[in-house]
Amino acid sequence: MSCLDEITLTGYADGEMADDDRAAVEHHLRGCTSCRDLLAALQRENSSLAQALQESPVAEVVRLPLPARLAVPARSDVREFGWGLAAAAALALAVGGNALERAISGRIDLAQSVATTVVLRSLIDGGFAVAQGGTAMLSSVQFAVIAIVVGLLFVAALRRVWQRRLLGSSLLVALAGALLLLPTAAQAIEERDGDVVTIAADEVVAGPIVLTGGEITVAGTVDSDVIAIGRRVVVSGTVRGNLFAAGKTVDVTGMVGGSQHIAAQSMSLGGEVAGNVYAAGQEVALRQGLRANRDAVTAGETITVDGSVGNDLTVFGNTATVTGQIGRDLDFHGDALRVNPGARVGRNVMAEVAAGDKFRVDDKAAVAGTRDFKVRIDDVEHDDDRPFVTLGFYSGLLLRLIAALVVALLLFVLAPALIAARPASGQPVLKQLGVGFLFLVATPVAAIILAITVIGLPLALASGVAYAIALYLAGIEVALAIGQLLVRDARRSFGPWALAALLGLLIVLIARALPIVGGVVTLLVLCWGLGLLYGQLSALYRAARLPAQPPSPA
Amino acid sequence: MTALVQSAQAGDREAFGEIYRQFSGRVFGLCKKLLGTAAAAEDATGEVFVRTQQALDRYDPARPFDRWLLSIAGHHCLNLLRRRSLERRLFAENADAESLAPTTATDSPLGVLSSSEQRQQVRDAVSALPNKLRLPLVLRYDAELSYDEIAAALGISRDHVATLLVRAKQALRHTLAGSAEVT
Repeated sequence: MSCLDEITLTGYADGEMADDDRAAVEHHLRGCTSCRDLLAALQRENSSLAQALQESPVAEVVRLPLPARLAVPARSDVREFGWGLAAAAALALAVGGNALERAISGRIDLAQSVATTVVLRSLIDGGFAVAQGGTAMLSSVQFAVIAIVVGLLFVAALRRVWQRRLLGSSLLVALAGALLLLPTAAQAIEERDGDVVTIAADEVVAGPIVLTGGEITVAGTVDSDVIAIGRRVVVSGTVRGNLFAAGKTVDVTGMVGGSQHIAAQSMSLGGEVAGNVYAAGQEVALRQGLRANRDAVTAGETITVDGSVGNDLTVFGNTATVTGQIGRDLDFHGDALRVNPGARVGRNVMAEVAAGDKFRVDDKAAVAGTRDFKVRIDDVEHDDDRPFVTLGFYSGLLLRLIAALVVALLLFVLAPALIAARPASGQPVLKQLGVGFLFLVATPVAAIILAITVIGLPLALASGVAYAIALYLAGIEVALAIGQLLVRDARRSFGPWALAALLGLLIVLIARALPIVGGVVTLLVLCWGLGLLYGQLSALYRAARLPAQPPSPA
Repeated sequence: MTALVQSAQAGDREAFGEIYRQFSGRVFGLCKKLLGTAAAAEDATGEVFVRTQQALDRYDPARPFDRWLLSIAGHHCLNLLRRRSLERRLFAENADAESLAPTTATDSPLGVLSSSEQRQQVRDAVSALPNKLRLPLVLRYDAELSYDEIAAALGISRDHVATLLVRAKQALRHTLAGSAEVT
């Protein structure tokens, strides 16, 4: 038998030889020194080659941080951040406008009386509509909100089941279940509804009560909160909790143990209030009989303050007339402020008015501190020819930036695979542009053809919606891709990733808003973005079809 | 290791993070050898672990985990190369045009790699090999795939794999002998 060739011996050394071939080789090896030497040399080569290849050179052992989109601890920070944010938002809502309004009052100059009045009117009209619809409408709104929350919780729970996080998912399901039961619990709160709803003077209600209807009168005593929504609400009795009242007119003369939250077209507030007063409406009157022990925040067209406020009074409105007593600061944002003789202000008067002569503080008014005012500078008039000089243009840009950032963050948390693109990897940009252009043009055409067939109408509508969503996401895809080109390590952890996203979105938004070139930029962005999106989706599709396991050794 | 993989399968992210810490260097090394550049390897490493996590349910514990992971990495890199559309052309069976002076394994400079410099020289020589020689070599001796697996992944015959491996090693001996003469 002639000597074995290197290919045969390599196969033998690599353990890649069928049994009978191996027997033949071993038979030959027993009698051939040179082949044994060659085999030994090949085995030495193999082992040193494997050693050289498998050892990681020091320079390469530099730890690669985990890619941000991997669902491992690095990302759970983001998730926990998200949950924390949601919890914080819920808490903020639960606590109510209290802290928020305090934060706004006097510190941020966003009080444009016209805008506030518009908001207030819609609020009042909305409240009024709810009142006219009665409890049926109230409970359907309540139901809708709860249904949405429950739905979201179930989706979150399903995701967790999918990730085999059983504890988390069962907790979420339990929470969702509890929320489903909540309406039943809510029904334990006493409700009264009708054209005329009255708590008589000799009546005492122990628990919280919801009153809806036309004429609502609270003459008796409620030991807890009162929610009253009606055309006309009169509270002359005692409310030991908070009073929430909305209606066309609201008239309060009774005592309130908590805070007053009033929204009405016109209101007249008196009586003693242990907490704060929040009053918003067209005409707001804090009557002489009012004794608010803490702060009062009011917003409206015409505001009259004759009563007394223990701490600060903050007013957003067109015109305000103050004759009463303010324990500490009087803070006004609007057109005109008038402080009459007899008024007393414990500390400073600060006002933002439309013109210098609209700030009138009578010399006979007692102001312990300073009397300052500044003239409000109105927004630059909206000018279609020069959108870049209007404030609205920039605030619109900012809003869109925030919205896009929120969407990008949602994608990061919910669908990380969709935003994995980096232009440096995968298909070349030109190809992506081409694919994107194809989608950009072909989708509407296909949708129209589908629509013509009538039977395909639902499909056409669905593809239209998907098209709109894809166009929006396309911009975000491009922004993320650009951001990741600019920020080093953008894919390694959340911080740099978010920075990259912000940068990219800013660049894309500004470029698309540029005059003349903006249109071309938008077209390019949409094409490229759709191409990227297509790349991501097809990569996902391929990943889903990844073989169960690569073929195992024979 | 088995316990770690089992916890990762059960959704324990810490466990998967630990797997990543243990193996990312190894996967990165393989990807770099297959793809050529550190940037591409970095991208590929992340992608490999994403896929690994998605495929974790399908992992068969009878198989060594690192082999499984590396074979995913190998397949992924080959897909990337295929997308670069270079590899298909290179693996035509009749493409072995250039001839190489046959070298022998006895007294091969590959046989004794005592110092880390020598091993680095080998890695440099490997990275200088053309795709058609480098890919089977790396898949065999780094990822430790079987001939059949390599053949399937590259779309060539098993015999061709054996031939290419021998040719790759001959080329390495050639290069290393040359550099040994220079130094």
